[in-house]
Parts: sequence; C-alpha cells; structure tokens
Amino acid sequence: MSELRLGFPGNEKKEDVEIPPGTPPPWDLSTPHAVVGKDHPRLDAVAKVTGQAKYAYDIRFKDLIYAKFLRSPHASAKVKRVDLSRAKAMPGVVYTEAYEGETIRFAGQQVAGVAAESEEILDDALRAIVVEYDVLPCVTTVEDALRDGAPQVLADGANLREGRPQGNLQLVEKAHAEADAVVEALYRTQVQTHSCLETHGSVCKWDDGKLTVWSSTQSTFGVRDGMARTFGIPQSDVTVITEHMGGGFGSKFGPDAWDQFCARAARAAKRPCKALLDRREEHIAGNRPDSIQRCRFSVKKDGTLMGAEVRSQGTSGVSAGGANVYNPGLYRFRAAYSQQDTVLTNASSGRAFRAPGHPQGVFALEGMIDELAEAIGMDPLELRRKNDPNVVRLAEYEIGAREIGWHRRKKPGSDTGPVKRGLGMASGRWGHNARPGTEVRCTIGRDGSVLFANGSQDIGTGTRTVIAIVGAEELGLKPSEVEVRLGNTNDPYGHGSGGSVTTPSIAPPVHAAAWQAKQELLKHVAAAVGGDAQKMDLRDGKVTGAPRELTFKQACGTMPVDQLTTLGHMAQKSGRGGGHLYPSFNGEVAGVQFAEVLVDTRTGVVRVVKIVAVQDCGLVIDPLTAKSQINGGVIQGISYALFEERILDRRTGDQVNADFLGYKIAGTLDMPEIVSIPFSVSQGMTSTGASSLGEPPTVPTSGAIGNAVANALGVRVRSLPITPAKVLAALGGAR
Amino acid sequence: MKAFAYLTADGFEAASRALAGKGPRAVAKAGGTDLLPLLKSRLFEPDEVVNLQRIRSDGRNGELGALATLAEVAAAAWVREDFPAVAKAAGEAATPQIRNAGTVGGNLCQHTRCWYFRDANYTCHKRGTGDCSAAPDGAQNRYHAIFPHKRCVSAHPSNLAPALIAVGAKVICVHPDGDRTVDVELLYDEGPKGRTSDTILREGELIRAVVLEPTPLAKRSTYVELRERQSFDFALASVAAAIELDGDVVKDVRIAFGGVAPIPCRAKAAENAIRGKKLDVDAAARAAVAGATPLSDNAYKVPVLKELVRRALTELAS
Amino acid sequence: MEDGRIRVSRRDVLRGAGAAALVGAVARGQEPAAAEGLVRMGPDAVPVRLTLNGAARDVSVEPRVTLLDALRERLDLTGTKRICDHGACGGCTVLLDGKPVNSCLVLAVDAAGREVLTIEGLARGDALHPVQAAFVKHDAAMCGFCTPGMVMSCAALLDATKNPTEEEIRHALAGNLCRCGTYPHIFAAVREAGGAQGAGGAGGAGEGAR
Repeated sequence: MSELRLGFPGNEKKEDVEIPPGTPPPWDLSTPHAVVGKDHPRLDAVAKVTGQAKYAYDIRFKDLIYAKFLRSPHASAKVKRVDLSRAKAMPGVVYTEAYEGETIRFAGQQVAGVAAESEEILDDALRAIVVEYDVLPCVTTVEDALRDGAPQVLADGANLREGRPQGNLQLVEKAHAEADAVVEALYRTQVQTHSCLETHGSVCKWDDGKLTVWSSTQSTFGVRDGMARTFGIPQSDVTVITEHMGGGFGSKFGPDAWDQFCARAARAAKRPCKALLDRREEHIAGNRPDSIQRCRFSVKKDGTLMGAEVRSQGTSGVSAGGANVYNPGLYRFRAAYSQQDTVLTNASSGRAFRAPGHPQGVFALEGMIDELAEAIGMDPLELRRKNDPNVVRLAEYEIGAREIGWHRRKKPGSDTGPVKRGLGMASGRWGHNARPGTEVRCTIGRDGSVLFANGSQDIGTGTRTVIAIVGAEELGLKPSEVEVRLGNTNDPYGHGSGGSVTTPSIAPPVHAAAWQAKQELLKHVAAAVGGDAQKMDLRDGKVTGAPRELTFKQACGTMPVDQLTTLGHMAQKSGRGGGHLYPSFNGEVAGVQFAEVLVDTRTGVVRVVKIVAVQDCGLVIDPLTAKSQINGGVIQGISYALFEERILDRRTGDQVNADFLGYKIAGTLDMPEIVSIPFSVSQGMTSTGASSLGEPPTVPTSGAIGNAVANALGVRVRSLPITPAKVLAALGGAR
Repeated sequence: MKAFAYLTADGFEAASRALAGKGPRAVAKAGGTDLLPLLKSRLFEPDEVVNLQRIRSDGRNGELGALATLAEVAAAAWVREDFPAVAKAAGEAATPQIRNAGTVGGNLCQHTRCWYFRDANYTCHKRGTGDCSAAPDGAQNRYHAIFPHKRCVSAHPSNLAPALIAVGAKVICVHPDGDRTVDVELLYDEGPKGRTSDTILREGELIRAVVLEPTPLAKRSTYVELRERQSFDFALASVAAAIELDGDVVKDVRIAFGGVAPIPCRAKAAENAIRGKKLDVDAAARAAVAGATPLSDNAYKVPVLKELVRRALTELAS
Repeated sequence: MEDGRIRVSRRDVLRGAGAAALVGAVARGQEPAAAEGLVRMGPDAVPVRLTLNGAARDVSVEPRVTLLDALRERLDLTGTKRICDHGACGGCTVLLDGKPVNSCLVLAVDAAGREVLTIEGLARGDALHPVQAAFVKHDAAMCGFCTPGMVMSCAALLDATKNPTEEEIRHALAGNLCRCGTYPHIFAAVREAGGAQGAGGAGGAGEGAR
C-alpha cells in the first residue's frame, strides 16, 4: 500500500492505494517535479512562427485538383433539377455530382459538387450550374417553429422535441413556498458558430486502392474509421495525417460530406484532391445552439438556495437534439427541476462547441444567482460561498476576489457618471475525465534520441508539448531533448480531442511508456556497469544510483540493440468493472471568473476592462501553455458575450452575416487585461493527476460579464450578445 | 471571380474613356479593397477591370490625390493640422492593412455593406432586381438606415465622405464629356433603380482628386464614430463636424452623418439649430435626429447618433 | 515637399523602382494596347515577375488571381493563410513594399515589380526575426493559423515604430483575428521584441527582402 496525497495545499486528501506492478508510481502533491509545472515553450512554436507548419490546407501536389459543393440559398426546398451541362463542358472540370430530388432542410445544404484543375475553373464551373428548386416555407427561430401550423422541419415528428424532465417539480414548489424571495426571469443566448480559422476539409489521395487523408480534424482515428466505412475498405487501408490543425473547438470530428466528396473526386479523377470550405461555408459547419431559458429560482434571507426551476428551449437547427443547457447545476439547491427541449428549425446543425451547453446555461444560472443575491440584499460572492459544494472553487473565490478587487464593487447602478463601472463574477465546472485506450510508443535509440509517438492530433492546445514534458520528467531530460510525433494514424491509437480529455488521457500513457522505457534502460545499464537497476534513476540527464557516473546518452549506449521500444497505456483496475486505477480528489475541475466592465450609458457600448480567471485543471503540466488555454477560453467567452451572433434572414433562413465582418469575433482592441491563474490540484484518478483544460475556462466568462454589466447599470441585459442596442433598450431606449 | 481582361491606364482620361459606355461590363479598380470582395462573390462580373493604380497623378497643393491611401491621408501633417476631421476619419477606417491599400477615391465610391445588396439571391433596388429586401418584415436590418430613402434603406459605409462634407471639400472628376468639380456634399444621391453606385458620377467618370480649402471651419473639425466591436467594424453611426466659434456663439457650423442613411448626408437641421446662437450641443443633437424613421431593428441608432453629435460638438467647443 | 506641405497623391509614395519593374513585367506578357494610354492583359494567364522575399520569381497567372492564391497555389509558399478571403481577418498579411496588406485583396499582377515579403522570408536562415523569437518565448501561437499574418503585422509595426506602446500594438494588430485567444501573449511578445529591438538594434522586418 502506498499513500497518495491528493488535492491542493490547504486542502489535502490522503488515500491508500495499491500500485499495480509494471506501472509507474503515481504523481501526487509530494512528487518533486523537475520539469512538470515549469514554463516550456511550445514544441512546434518555431514551425508556426516561420510559416513552415503544414496544415491540411497547405498540402500541395503538382496534379492536385480542387473540389467544392454548390449550396442551396433556400432553407427549405426540393431540388427539382440540376443542370451540370455547362459546368461539365468546361475544360479542366474533372468530376461532378448532382443531388437532384433531395430535400433541402437548411440554407447551405449541398445540391451539386464539382472538382476541377484549379480554383478558378472550379469557381467558373459552380457559377455555371443551373438549379431549379421548389421553394417551401421555412422556420428559423424557436418561436416560429413552435407556432401552430409551422412547417415541419423533419418528416419523423413535430418540431418540438421535449426533453425528459429532471428532478421533482413538487419539491421545487415546496422549496419556493418556504423561500423568502422567488425570482422569475427569462434569459436568452444566441447561436455562435465555431469559426475555425482553418476551415473544415481535407486533401485526399488514393494509391493502389489505399487512401491517405490530410485532414483538418480533432480526431484522426475518427476520420480514418469513417472513411473506411464510407468506402468499404479496411481501416488499415486508410491513413489520416494531421500534423497541425487550425482550430476545431468541437466541430471537427468528421469525416464530413465534403471530405467524402473529396475522396470520391480523387478516386474518380485518379488525382489528389483538396476540399476545404470557404469562410461562408464554415459558418454552417457547426454551431453552439441558442437558448431561451425560463427560470424560477428562490432563496431564503440567510442565503440558503431553495428551489431552481428551468424550462429551456433552443434550436440545434435540423438536429433533433443537442440544445440542452447546463442549468441549474453548480450550486446546492434544496430542490431543482429542469426540462430542456430541442426545437427543430431550418438551419444548419449544431455541433459540440467548447463545453456544450455550459456557457449558455451558466449565463442564465449565474445571472439568476446574482438576481437572488440582490433580492435578499446579499453580496453575490457571499451567496455563492454559502452554496458552493466545491472546495476548489471556494479557494479560487479568494484568489479571484483579491485579484479583481471585489471590495470595490458598488451597489448595482450606483456608479455616478455616464460611463459606469461594474464588477461581476461567475463560476463553472467540468468533469475530471480520463479515457482509457490511448497508447503512446516510446522509442529510445542507442544514440540517446528519444521519440514519443501517438497517432492523434494537437489541435493547438499544446498536446505535443505536454507529451514532451511528461516524458522528459520521467526520463530526467529536458522537454527540448525529446521528439514527439503526432498526427498519423499509423502510430498508436489516441482519442479524438473532445470533452477536454486529451491531456488527462494522454499524459498517463506517456508516463507509463517513459517509465517502462526507463526500467528497461536501467536494466541494460546495470548489466553493463553493475549495480542494482532498482536503485537507479534518471535525473538531470544522468543516471543516479549507478556505480559510476553515466550521462543519459552513455546509458543509452549500453543497450545491446539499436533501440528499445515500449508501449504505454493508461492502466485500469483489474477485475470486475475495471475503472480508474486511483481515486479522484473530487471528480471535477472548478473555475471562477471575475469581470470588470465599463458601460457607456449614452451609447450602450460595453468595454470589458479586466477578467480574472482562476482555473483548476488538475496537475498543471505547463503553466505557460495552460495560461494560453485559459486566455483562449476567456477571449472566446468575451466574444460570445458581446459580439458573436449568427444572423439568419427570417424569410429565407439564409445567414446574412456569413463572413468575418458581420459575424464579429473579438479582436485586439476588444481585449481587456486578462489575469489567467492556473490552479493546480492533484486530481488523482490516473498516474499523473492531470485534468481537463480545453473547455472549462470558456464556461463562466459570459455569466461574469453579464453580471458586471448588471452591476454597472442597475438593470440587467438577459440576452446575449450584450450589444449597444440591448443596453440602450434596457436603459429605456431613445431618450 | 469571373475572368477579366486587365487594362492598366496611364491616366484618368484614358481610364475614363475605357470605362465609358460599357456599363457593368467594365469596372475601375484602385486599391481593390472594396472591389475584390464584390468580384469574388460574383456580384460584379465585368469583362474588363480598369486599373487606376499606375496613374501618375500630378497632385497640386491642397489636394488629396484620388489614389492616395487612407494611411497616407491619416499621416499627412497638413491634413492633420488643417483638416483634423479628415485625418481622423481616414485613420479610423477599417484596418491597418486596408488603410495601406484602400484609396481616397475608393473610399468615396465604395459600395454599401448592406448584406442584401451583397447577396445576389435577394432582390435589391440598387441592383435593379426588385424591391429592397432590407425593409420588409423578417428582414435583418440592425445596421441599416434610420433616415432611409424610399426605395433603399442601406447605410452608407464611408468614413471619409462625412468628414469631407464637414470641411466643405470638393472632388475633381474626369470624364470624356468634360471634367467638373463637385462638392462632396452633392456627390451622392438616391440613385435610380439598378444603379449600384451611390454617387452621381456618370458612367466612366472618375474622381481625380479631392480639393481641400483651408478655412477656420475646417481647422476646427472632428470625426467621431461608434462601433459595436472596437477592432475592425463598420460604424453604427458616424458624425463629422466643423465649427467656427465667436466666443461661445456659433459663427458657422457644418455637420455630416455616415452610417445612418443610404448616402452620407449633411445635417442641416442640426446646424441650423445652433448657427448664430450660443453653442447648445443638446439642441443640435435633438435636431439631428428629428425626422428619423428607424426600421424594425435599429431604433438604437437614434440615441447613438444624438450622442455622437454631442460628442463631436463638445470636443470642438473645448 | 512643397512649402512644407506634402502633396498626397499616389505617385509620391510609389517607389520609382517599382514603376520601372512594372513596365518590364508587363512588356513580357502584354498584348497590343487596347487604346491609347492603356495596357491590356488577360483574361488568359500572363507572366508576372515578383520580387519575392528578395529574389525574382516568375509566375504565370490570370489577372483575376490574387497575390495570396499566386503565393499559395503557384509558388508553393503556403505560410500565408487564406482565412476569410475578404480582408477582414489579416491571415493573409504580407508586406508589399514594406507595408502590411491583405494579399487576398491584391491582384498578383499588381504586385509585379514590387517587393513582396512573406512569412517565409522573415527569418534569416536559422536566425528568427525578433518578433518570431518573442512569439516562441511567450507562447503567442496556439493552433498557429493566424500566426503568420500576426507575425507580419508585428514585424511591420516594429519597422515603423520602435518600442511601441501596448496601445500602438493593439491598433497595429486590429486587422488580424485570432480564434484561439493568443492576443495577450502576442502583446507581451511584441513589447519584448520592440524593447529588445530598440536596445539591441536588431534588424527590422523587410530586411530579408533588401
């Protein structure tokens, strides 16, 4: 039995654990790390700053062809006829498809596809296609879709897809009855598109019936398996390569229709083919569904949260599910009830988007918490402290409140002058999850070179660097002394980068592979120079505990063969049920954010002045890249809170702002001071205790900003994005 | 983009001759920052693009060559000194990259950002394909005009135009039928059906230069705009103002708006409310929005415009 | 300069060499003049000579091809990114005669005879430009897709402004969008590169092309 020290200084939890033979001793609070927890620049930074990093979009061949869909401008229609004759007659057009007879359910759905020898010819050919539609009535909003006689979006049922009620409404009613204040309010959030800078798509190439796909994806193996199924070929005949990729945020788990079309065109033309969406198309390749959240919450005068009742409706376009929001959750309520419906509309499908359901739910939930606090005259931070079950968040509140200067917060609307300052805060949670199945190969060469290989992808989060740090830690090296190869499905399996499970899932197999390699290497050392391998270790580039001093390189020179290879995986409990090897500290990651805003009451413009984000992510492996991740979550949250909105014409269902001018994402002049504080918690569960960071930091931001705006104004804007128009309307409109 | 022949002109006269009589089959290109997106979306499909960028223009003192970039205008010391509204408007336009390419002439002649104008699938008065799509029920018009024209409710996007109107600038125009000088204030009108341009320029007529006359009014001028997003964004509304004070009495004043009407427009009601009187910024602001008829989604532009008028005049008064 | 007043007309800032080189480039592919005072090219492909990262490069393009597409699809310089293709994101930023422009809004034929500097031409051999080195140190690239455009805008800023303030940095980068959220680390990187440059006199952007 060994003792595992979990948690964080000031809140430790000790667990007795069994370390299975053949697995590395787990890291915990007592582990003295040499490189873990220190700032390390990204391994691929030089490639990225010099333009040498190759994305799917950058793959070039001399005989490359280009493929693209022609898309419907109508949101609901039948494709009567597609006339490709003029397009086909154009020199350089090498492949076409037409989807006559198809039912169009959203604007942007494909009606034909063309592949051509240049992008210019492709553009000409798409322009030359003539399509006849039977245009049908469409619905684009939740309200319109629920009206009597509204056109039905899918043939298999009504537009309203009711969610299963959660909780007991009677208990909530009882709690409301016992409460001192009941607040009822309606919150709205908008549709946000992922807007990946590298659009979705791929380059496909066939060689002797085998397919290679350079894919902009968050899941190389998912694309491989999807393509194998599509073409009825073995997985082993498909190779997917994603060396670098330009952002996914949950939307790139393909293969998508355009990837499959690309591969068909490549096969037919016997030439490599490239299909990457243009910016307009990218807006239909996934979005965060909108929401209308009707909330009824109650509280006692002493700050005890009582009842929480939420009925939410949102649209995920033509997807019959996925508009759920994370509300209420987060805090201890006496009783809670929610029903979350998805409403079908003639719009492109929602997709997982960075903490699906959470930012929209937390915007409403945290708004309600502040409204309750105001109703009973309690400081909103105090109300949260009283009802928050998470000890990590309780610690984070102190740090965040100090950093933002929470004592400066005034009563809502009490700031004098036309430009009003406001402070607000919000919290978020995410699961601490690690998925077994990922494998990492460690190869140590007799020349001292070290390579870690895994077939999954680095989507910009820094996975490559995390692997290097974890591997280097165990081998007593610097991260810059190890090579990492990612993004080729011929290497060992790795999960798709979703649910923020990448680091927690890949760090343990790296740890295991490196530890096993170390054991083997030290055996060779002992065989060569004597001593007890069990008592040796690798530290600072040297072997410790050996009869004579050896550098790492000299140690490698003792190997009888050219290289040694180990395959690390995340060990699971043996026996019935399996499960994670070690207990978890508390099974979730916690984050809190504080926002300071200035609101100009004459123009309605909100300027975020400062955000403080304190974010638990388990064991912090690289504070530098962790801060980047937190900044990124915060910035997407600011952008969501103030600017972004997919705007559909209500008559046609067509997106009128499908570009980067009308669809506004935050730029440099919109940036506040951002204080990102990674909060390290030894989370347990696996041998590394590393946890999730991709999604959590974008969860609280819009809620914190919404509360800060309400604090500044004394009136609340319960609808995202918080635009000048909405602020002015809340203040009473045209004065 | 449709393939086109590229005709590089060595002078405005040659360019104008090349354009005249060809209708939409030929278009002029200077910096390309407005034209290229229109070509890429195939809203315009000309056979010929006439390149103005290599024209050697012999600009005179007090002139902004039509091909001067916005960055050059914003940086020019004499513009900053004598026509601050113009320098400020140029400096706040778009992005550094676009200011390095976009030109004075191009900024004045740019096409509306109305998303219905820019999508051939919608009917559009300006494009001559039917009624305006931005006004009826179901339209999305949050960024459109609060002083709409009868048949078009787009909002004019130019930064420079209101500033030039406020300082009383003129443009020198070149055309085979004869050159002319036009007040910038009179350069724009509600076009007939099918005229994609917002200017009165005849087919093939090109702006060669902007003439700036230094006056006490122009020297005391400013430009303010409001953006939803502080980084690259078209103004929700913009106000340029120039004022000459005699003590605290307004001797003369010129005010112009952008982003609130289909064309940049002089705000005569606001001027008249304060001309010859003690400066009262609120009176000007009230008069500025009298007669505004917002659309379904843009009533907020009314208080925004009022505030911008207040801001511009308050800045000039201090 | 005349009477202390700059005549702001396009000619004043066009480099003489640029105009001369254009004549050569056009002459190589030109068709008979369409009319007096006009040189006609295309619509078929025409040869264009670019001064690209300091070296002459010939490429054959239709007049409708943008500089961005010529760089990426014909000259295999894929560092410059096409993100919005409409001048709204800065992903395609290159330096044209030392100034940042959106290469998606420049026709390749218009770049003839002018100096084009792309991300590939910024470092000198293995020696990173100070901006690049600072980006690495401060983790100013995440997915990296906006990075080439960002780096070019930063390099242009440091060429024009030594020791820029954070406000100047934000304005100089207002035309570059990032989706991952690297802005704060970019500001830190440019502050450092600007300071280092001011102190150490390291080379500015565009040197590689000269």
